[in-house]
Amino acid sequence: MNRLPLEITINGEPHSLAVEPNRTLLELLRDDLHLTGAKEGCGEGVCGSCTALMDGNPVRSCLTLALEADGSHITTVEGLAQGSELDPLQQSFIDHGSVQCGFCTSGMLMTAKGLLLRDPHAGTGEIKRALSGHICRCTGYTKITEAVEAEVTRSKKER
Amino acid sequence: MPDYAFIGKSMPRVDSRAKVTGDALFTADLTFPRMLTGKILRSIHPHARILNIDVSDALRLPGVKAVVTGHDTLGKKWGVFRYTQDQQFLPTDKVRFIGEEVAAVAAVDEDTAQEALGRIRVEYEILDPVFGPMEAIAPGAPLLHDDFPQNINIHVPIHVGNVEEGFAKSYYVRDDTFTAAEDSYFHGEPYAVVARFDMDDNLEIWMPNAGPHMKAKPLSTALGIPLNKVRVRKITIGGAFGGRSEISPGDFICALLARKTGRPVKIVYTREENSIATRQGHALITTIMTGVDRDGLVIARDITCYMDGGAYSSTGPIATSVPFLCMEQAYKMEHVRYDGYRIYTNKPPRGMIRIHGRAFAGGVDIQLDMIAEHLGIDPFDIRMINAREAGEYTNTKSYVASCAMKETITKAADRAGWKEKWGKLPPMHGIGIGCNSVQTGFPMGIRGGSQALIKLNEEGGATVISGVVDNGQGNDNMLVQIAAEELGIRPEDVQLVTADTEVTPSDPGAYSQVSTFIGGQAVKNAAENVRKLLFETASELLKADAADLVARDRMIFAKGCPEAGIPLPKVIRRILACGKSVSGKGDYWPKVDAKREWVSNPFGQMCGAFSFGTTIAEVEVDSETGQVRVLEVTAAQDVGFAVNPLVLEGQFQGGIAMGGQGGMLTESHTWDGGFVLNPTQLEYKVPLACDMPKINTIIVESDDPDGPYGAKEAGMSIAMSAAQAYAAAISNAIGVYMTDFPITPDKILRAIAKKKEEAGPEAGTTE
Amino acid sequence: MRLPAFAYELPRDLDEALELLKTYGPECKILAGGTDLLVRMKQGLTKPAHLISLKALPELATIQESGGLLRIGAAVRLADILTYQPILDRRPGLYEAVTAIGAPSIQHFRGTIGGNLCQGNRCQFYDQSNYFRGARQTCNKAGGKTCFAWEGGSDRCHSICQSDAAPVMIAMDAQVLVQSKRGVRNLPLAELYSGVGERPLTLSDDEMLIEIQVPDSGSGTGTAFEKLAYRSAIDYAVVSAGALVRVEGNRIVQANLVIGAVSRSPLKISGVDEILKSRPVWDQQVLDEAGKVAMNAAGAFIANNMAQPADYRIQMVSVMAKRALKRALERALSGSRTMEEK
Repeated sequence: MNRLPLEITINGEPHSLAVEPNRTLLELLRDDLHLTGAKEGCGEGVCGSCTALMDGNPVRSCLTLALEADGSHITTVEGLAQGSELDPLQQSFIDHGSVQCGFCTSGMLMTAKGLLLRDPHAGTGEIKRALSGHICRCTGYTKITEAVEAEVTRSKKER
Repeated sequence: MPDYAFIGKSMPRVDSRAKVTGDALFTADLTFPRMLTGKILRSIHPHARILNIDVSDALRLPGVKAVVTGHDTLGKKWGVFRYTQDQQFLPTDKVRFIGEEVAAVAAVDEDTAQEALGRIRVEYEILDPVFGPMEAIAPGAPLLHDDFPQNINIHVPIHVGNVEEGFAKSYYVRDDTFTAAEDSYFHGEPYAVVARFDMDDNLEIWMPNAGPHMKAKPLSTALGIPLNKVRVRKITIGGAFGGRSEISPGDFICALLARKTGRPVKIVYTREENSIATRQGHALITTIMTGVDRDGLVIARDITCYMDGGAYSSTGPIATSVPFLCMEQAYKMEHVRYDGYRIYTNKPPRGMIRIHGRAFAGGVDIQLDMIAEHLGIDPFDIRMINAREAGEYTNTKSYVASCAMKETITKAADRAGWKEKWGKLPPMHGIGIGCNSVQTGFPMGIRGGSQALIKLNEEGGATVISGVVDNGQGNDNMLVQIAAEELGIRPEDVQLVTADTEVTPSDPGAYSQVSTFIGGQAVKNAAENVRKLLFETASELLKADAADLVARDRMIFAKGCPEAGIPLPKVIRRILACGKSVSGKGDYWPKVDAKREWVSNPFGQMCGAFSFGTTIAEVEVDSETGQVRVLEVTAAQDVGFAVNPLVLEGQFQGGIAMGGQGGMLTESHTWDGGFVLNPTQLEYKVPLACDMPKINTIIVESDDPDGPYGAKEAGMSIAMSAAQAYAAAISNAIGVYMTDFPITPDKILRAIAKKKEEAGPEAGTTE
Repeated sequence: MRLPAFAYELPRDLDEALELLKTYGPECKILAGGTDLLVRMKQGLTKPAHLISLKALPELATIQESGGLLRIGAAVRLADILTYQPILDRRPGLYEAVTAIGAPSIQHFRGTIGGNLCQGNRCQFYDQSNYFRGARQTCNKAGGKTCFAWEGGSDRCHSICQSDAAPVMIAMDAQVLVQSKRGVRNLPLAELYSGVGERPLTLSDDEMLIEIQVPDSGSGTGTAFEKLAYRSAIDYAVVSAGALVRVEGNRIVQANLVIGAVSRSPLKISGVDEILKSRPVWDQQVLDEAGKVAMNAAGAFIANNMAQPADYRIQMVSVMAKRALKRALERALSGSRTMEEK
């Protein structure tokens, strides 16, 4: 396969790359750029552990060709914090005990982030619906939901 | 309660930050220079003799650096126990399940490795397979292992008292059979292994594990290298749930490839491989006969349990025993007999799992409900009558020092509104209760204890060295909390070096629920020893009695005089200046009966403590679709003492999801002969966020005399009692006792229809 | 899991895309969101030498309404359908169907309506890894000569159309525009489906789906979609039902019922129209009868292609049919066709 050019911005950093057509966004992130926050939990778009934001929308990076992300802005979990300052959503996950084994965490965070970017006032129902695209074996989802709810409340207060 | 700084407090976990930033490295995240990709060729036959394996074509493929088969091994059979040595990691004789490892390659990339697998030619002689325990023990059934007649891997026979006598004097006796298909772990993280040999020929190996020390010894034996040259390294682990404890063929294969190529090798399992080639849960057929007196007190119980063990023994003796043990811990019985059989079948090996034995546990409790109905008493009451109490012995002679089982029952019942609801809910609306107990540990011989080492630097920072492993349940944080508390420093002052067999002393591992009880206790003891050292010198400096000193917030001071204290670094420097080092060690070995053995002598003190839990579930059944809407679940567990309530709540919630919502409603493997039809999360239905009900968690504390701060275990009991509660609630809702698990909608509809039929044409409709 | 190798084509306009389709025909596949296609490629179920990306064809991703005709481009993202107010307002059945697809973060931002309608048929023996399928005879769908899902084997493929959007859109009398270099075809959505498991769509190799057109049946119409699944998201349906009911005054004048997830194509149930038209509107018995008709029709198709037992699935056809019809009816009668306040 010939490599094709790819212009892609990841966590604010532009990259000019050349990739094979069958390179998935997940492989690009993990293997080429060593951003291992996104995980392969199933490879088939079921578990959500590979979720990244593409132009602000959550996508299954294991089912997204890197070339399909040409010209896009990708945000991964590594791009949530600003330097050493965590995104309030990340802090909320820590504070609420939402992280157990951590394997599903980055996917959950990216979907939650995408949701709140679209709808900062998302209610419990929407939060749970958004999180229902993710499989967590450890937490039972309660504390993950609570963490996102708390961030909605906190950011409301901030306005 | 003592005025703890950190113990007993809800605090965020120390490992959370790295996980939310994506910095935490799981095994598949590791890369090393010149690392190769490994892939495993797996059997496509459930039972076959290996006649020949031709790897020459694979070796010719450019980019392939090594191919291994059983001929590259020492050919030894391994087993968790000496009497269960039945498994070669790369078989030379037979394959015994679809998915079994047959050969492996290491290549420069995944595509090459995959292509190489396709070039390996294996010649098999197909043998007749057997797929269920009853078929497997039938006369004439194909034999999986020559040393195990009738395919009986393990038989645990326990008879305490005289059950025949007990039944004879019982007021009411009933006999019921309960069945459950296999459930499966479905850890978030698919299995992966990275192995490399360093410049001194030491093996460094990373994999998700529930006890690195349990992995190191078998690796050493299989590879023929000294134990101290095997370093199982610390890594972030994406769940274990009772599995990932004993060595996996993948571990050995990866090490073998690394040795053969002289390069690091990474093997990452697909989700399918994680489901079919690591471990699954056991399918169970359990027949329970119980006799009670007029009040519902159990006099005798006779249980026969057939477990579908799959192709190899794994933790066979433990798996065969645990469901029985959980029951005898939870409930009193004057007479009891248990015949547990673990049977080989041509399916993937089964192991210990968090909700081990849902047919057993679900059966015991459903049967209590049946008995209660017959006697005209409340399921709540029959639990209370039979509930374990502190100061008693289990039938197999374990002393139960602390037990708040009854408190968990009453508290759960109060919170769930049991009295207001039981018997008063409309049709298709039900409430059910489940009770269970989990052992905190098993007798593990030379691996039964844990030791911790602690050193302090001159700034007052501590390094805690412990073999305790964190699978995601929060063990790292637990160690930090304990060390910070006992040393009088802050959590951020504690560095952990854990779960690394080169550096950390042996520890029993996490899968027997002992990380806090044994591992945490060892850290506590080590910290206390260091503190003694500090206080000796501090007492001189403060001119106070060591017994009157307090260490808190990086200061040491006499009780009541915090303003007149000395900063910790000053004390440390003073000790060092006097030519003494500032470090300490501590260990903890639980008081168990060393002679207790699973099969040959299943009597004596099993472990140091037992946890007890009660779950109550309230459900609504759609009588047209059979679907269950779970309204509310209340879980109360006697954890001894809650070291971190925030973490415990998460354990309870996760346990309900796994044991109840998934375990009882949707989770099982479906089969086509020896093929798993649902190896991925699409068709094996682990619950999602919107499926979960409202959950109430209640922490009950019985202050165990031996547990650190009184703590026992908190990760398993709720998962099991949730399974029981769900089964009971659904049975209550539809008015039919469900005896086959999981309780899928089709089974519910069939039960409702059957009940209507039996009620006859005069009976009104249920709606 | 790795994707096989392929050539990536990025046409800059529709004509270029059609040209590629003409050139490569059976050796290429359209890449919309990829959430179905790429899974199949990873499993080795399909190995197109070329993927034709729709990324640079925004003209395929527009929604518009003109003269009561809703025109949805094939590449419209599912999320955009959910935020298109006129759909929420007047075609709640479609809204319900799209909401049920996958889960918000899977399908809704990459998944497209065209992709959902054109997804490959499914079967528990077919949708498996290379490893699983390599260990057994090749089935009809995979180019072989057997069917594992049919008792005693079969020379036809008994895979299932699992599109959640198809049933209600067919019930809504949707049409589709299909285009190739040879021209445009306008056909009922129902005729997009061949009923042939091995090749579920009637598209020729050089054709692609361009647009779906949903007529507005006017006031007095109600639509609904029911999906039975064991979990609240991610899952394909065990059984689904799409319904459209139109009333005039108190009488039903039209009733369309389509059952999904039971057959090789969405199953239009004939006879439902007559039953519902024949009696006074508010009659539970009428709905029960319709349910039975649906059940009998579906029964002939149900195969062992899904884990859930066949007898359960057949029973559920009746339940889903009744529920979809009832809700569509309630919406039609209430005059408002919108989503009820939840």
